[in-house]
Amino acid sequence: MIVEMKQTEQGVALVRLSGRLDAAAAPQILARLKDIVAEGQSRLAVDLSEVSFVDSTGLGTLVSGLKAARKAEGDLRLVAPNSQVQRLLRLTTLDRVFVISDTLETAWV
Amino acid sequence: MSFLTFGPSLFIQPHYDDVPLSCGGTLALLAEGGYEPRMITVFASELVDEMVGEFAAWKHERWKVTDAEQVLAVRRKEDAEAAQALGSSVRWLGLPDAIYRGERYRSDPELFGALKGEELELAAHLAEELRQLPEWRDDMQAFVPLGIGSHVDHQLVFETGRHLASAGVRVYAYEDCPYAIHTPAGVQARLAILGDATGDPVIVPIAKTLQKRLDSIACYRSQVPVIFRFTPDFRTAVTNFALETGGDVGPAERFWPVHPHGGSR
Repeated sequence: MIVEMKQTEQGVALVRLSGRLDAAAAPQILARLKDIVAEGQSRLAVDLSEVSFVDSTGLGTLVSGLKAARKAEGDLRLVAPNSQVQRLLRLTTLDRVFVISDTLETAWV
Repeated sequence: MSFLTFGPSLFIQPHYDDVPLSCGGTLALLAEGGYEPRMITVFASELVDEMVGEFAAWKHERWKVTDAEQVLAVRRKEDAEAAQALGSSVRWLGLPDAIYRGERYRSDPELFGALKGEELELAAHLAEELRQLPEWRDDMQAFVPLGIGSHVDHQLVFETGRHLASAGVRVYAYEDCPYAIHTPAGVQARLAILGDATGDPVIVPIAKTLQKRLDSIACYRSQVPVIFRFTPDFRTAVTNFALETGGDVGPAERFWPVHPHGGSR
């Protein structure tokens, strides 16, 4: 799992993940998301377009990140999840929890 | 009488406490044998506001839950201690409990009723996910709840076991306690529903590790008074159940081989 982060002019932290967001990768991703929020950036857009597989632990990591962002009065939004991730979000009903958009540009419109 | 094959094992529990309550003696035996069994708690997700609908809020009120985060921390601490008492460790997955999965289950009759269609798809996903966990081994055997009591989360994990069996994994179903203790007819009722999904039972004598099972159950300090509210002493209730299960072999736990979808093997 590779993580890249950059900040937009609007103050949104764009977090780009790639590879598998699973039980093995989740602790590292969670720590990074929490660091980003602790550094004062509470509006996050997580780009999943290069993520091939998410399991429930990975999903739990995104929920933890969302909670951390909300505690800091922000939000964590998901961008471009593939069909496997969309399916898991639907099966767990977490598609009702996250704001999901197709592109980074529309994540925080 | 059949006996269990000892080897690398994954004990899958829907909720915190199901494995120690139901088959902690067998897990402890495997741990003592050096097989490094692991516990997996499936429905262990964190909560955000949107997940707590009307039914879940009603449940929280009944359970006197005012701080869900604090409850989660307590439950995980107890779960970790219980696993340790059995000589094992536990991994928590991130699936939400049935009451937090949208409006699928809106009452107790629904929560203890039939699995919704999309939940079967979730069971298939879970089977795939389990086989990709870091602790998974090619020769792994899996233990899932039989589903006595019919809680939908227990049924879902049983269905996961059927998917694993279809993939060639040796799968055993344990008898869900306390349901099996409190409702003696529950095992036969569940087996009647399952038809040919299970085979002939396997008995595991646990005289050597019964005390560890009892000690691990005691770790669930927040739950024992609720689970065993109809019995003055949970140790006696669990011990008597194990003795009834084992008969001539002494205290025991019983498992039902799970058949793959589409036939027995």
